[in-house]
Amino acid sequence: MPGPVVTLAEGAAHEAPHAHLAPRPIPEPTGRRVRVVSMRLEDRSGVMQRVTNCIQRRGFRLETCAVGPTPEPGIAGLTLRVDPGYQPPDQVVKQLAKLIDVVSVEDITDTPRVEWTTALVTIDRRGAEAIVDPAVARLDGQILHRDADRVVVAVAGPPAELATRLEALRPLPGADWVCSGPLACAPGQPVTMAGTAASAPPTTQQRGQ
Amino acid sequence: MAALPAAALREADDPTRAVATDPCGAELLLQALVDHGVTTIFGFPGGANLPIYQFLPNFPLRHVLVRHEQGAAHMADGYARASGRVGVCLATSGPGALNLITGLATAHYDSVPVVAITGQVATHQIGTDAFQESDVIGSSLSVTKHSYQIHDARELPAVVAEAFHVATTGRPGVVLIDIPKDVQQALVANPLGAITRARAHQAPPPPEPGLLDQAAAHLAAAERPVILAGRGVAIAQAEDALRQLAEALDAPVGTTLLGTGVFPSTHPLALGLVGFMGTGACNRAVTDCDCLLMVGMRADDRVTCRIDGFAPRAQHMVHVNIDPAELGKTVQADCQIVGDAGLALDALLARLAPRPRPAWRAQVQGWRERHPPRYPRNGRLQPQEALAELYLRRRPEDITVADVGLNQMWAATSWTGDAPGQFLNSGGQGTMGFAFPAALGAQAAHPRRRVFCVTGEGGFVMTAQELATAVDAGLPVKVLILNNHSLGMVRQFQDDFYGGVRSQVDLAATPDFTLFAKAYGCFGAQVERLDQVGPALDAALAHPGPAIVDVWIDPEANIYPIVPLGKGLADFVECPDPS
Repeated sequence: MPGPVVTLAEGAAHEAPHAHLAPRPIPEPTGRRVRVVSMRLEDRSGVMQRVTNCIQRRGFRLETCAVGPTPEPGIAGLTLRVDPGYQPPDQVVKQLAKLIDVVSVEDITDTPRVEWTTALVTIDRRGAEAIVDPAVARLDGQILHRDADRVVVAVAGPPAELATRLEALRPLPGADWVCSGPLACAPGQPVTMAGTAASAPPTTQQRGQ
Repeated sequence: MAALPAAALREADDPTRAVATDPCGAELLLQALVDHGVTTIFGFPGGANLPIYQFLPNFPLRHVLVRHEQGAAHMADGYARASGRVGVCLATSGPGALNLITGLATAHYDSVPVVAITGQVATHQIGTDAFQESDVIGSSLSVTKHSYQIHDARELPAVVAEAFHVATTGRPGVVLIDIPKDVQQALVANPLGAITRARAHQAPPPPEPGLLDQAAAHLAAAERPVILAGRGVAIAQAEDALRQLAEALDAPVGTTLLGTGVFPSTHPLALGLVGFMGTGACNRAVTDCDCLLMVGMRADDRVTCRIDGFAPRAQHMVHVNIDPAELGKTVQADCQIVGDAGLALDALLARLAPRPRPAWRAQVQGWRERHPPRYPRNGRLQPQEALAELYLRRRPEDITVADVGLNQMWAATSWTGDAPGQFLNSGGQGTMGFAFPAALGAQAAHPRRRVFCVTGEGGFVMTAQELATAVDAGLPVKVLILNNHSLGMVRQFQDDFYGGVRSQVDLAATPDFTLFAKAYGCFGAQVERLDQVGPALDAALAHPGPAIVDVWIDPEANIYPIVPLGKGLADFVECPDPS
């Protein structure tokens, strides 16, 4: 049984289709507010999926990620660089702290901290040994592999310094590299969980960013 | 011959090895549910949860067989909202599990404790795209507080214990337990002890005394204080403390949609609903207040509307929420207190001496008189008139569940209840189709109370298959359909905010709900005049089973006041054609 037919309102104004849309510029996130976050997690299946899902779900953007074991069995350490996008910066830590598998989470962006990144560099030496070998020496890294065709070097350092060293390789046509996300810790902050001190400080080259 | 006890059968050299008389995973699960006080489960069987169904008859659990898994999730939600206990739903793997998702999101957004149990393909088949396999853990991450996939049947009792703890501790929410079929069938000799996750067992922090002192000082000094309250007050069962604090401060109280009922609607300090479709008096009071206390609420966009128009004259804002992430997320209160709403209200009450504020009270009363609820009287049946007939018949203990859309807003803004926990609706997700299955869940929780479902024809047909469940399970919910033959709220938005182009909102082809009800052996009536509404409702109430009263209302009826999109609370628009 059909009901009363709903019709267009009498005399409804038919404006141009966009007349009701005010020009509205897309707001820009205010400045560069990337957060450096240090976490301890229960090392269970799927825990990284929960972390990355939380970041995506809340409209944040994950810039880098480094994860690995800690001295505490079953506890993983994780360093993230997260852009909070349009959300207040403290939402990054607040939302991550809600995950059940998170043992501790700290925003160390504004805390004196040390950061450390590693990279593996592969360079094709064929026909360019005269250029490549000095460049490898300047990298001041550890040669992990060398044969007649190519060399593989491990280099490490604070993220900005390492980026500069890697950029110097860009003119070499046969150079390729991959970087880990930076690990970070705030030496001045109390350890938040017994037995989970941050990873051992790498070297005296390390410096705060 | 009587079966030998397990201890006699167990091999002496390996006491942990299971024998045929040991319980299987499915039995451990069901026993754990019983141990946690579960009496009712809403579910649907399928290939991957059949071991659970095989042993279900052996346990003192009432199983409500739904007709779609979304209905099971909504019923568990409604059960939990109405009872304060954890709602439990059960589905099979694949499509069954995925069909739960909308219902789980609805519960989780509204902080409702629900434990969802899903069957999964056998452990060795996970990842092979096996028949009816779905990644329900991945699919539900955003709509659950936590989830578990169990690979060792010995963990089952401990996981169930932790799931109930997580679902109910701090800010309540949804926990999902995914159980592969082989785990359900595995025999277990020695279940493991409790699993300890540091976060899972962390108690919510008590409100910080220093911040409470600060909040009390702000409220004591205010000349024009306003309190806004949300569902957190109901969860904390702090309605009395809220009323006492409001009376001590002589502060008017508005509520969020989910907070409807936490403050008596007939109390002289009641402001009604705040926000997008809030009352004129409430939105004016929030706009003009010099101190705003928000307690047990999220301050979402439906409450605040344009942020810079939300309490612009407030010199201080105090925000109390048990979830720290809700503080400073949208509104930047200068006093942010993490904690249980009840503890915070009690602590504030202890710090504040009664102080009458007659000038402020008079000003608020002036707004009430200037902005009363208005709707057209054009000879057509108005939804508020039909609701008045329903509420006239409502007993104090009755439960009303509203759907989503205009019917929800009419039902909320017309609400006359004075007791908490009797008006339920989907606030955060705004899930059309929620009300009817949620009402069935509420009825299952309270068999002796009357449960009304207020819905529109658009939302009702989204889950109307559950009428079979209502009949089957003996859940005599009375359904009031406010039928405007269209997607009314969408139509109003198109009229007001989208250039007046009515696009895809005509629902003239909805079924004859009287015949629909009768097809299931239920009572059905269709009315078009106000004088028919009361008798139809009386007949529905006299019918022992489920009943549908299909009320054809003015198809052009809208919700007012309303804050135009992008505007502030003070810019609310009232009914243009009252008479």
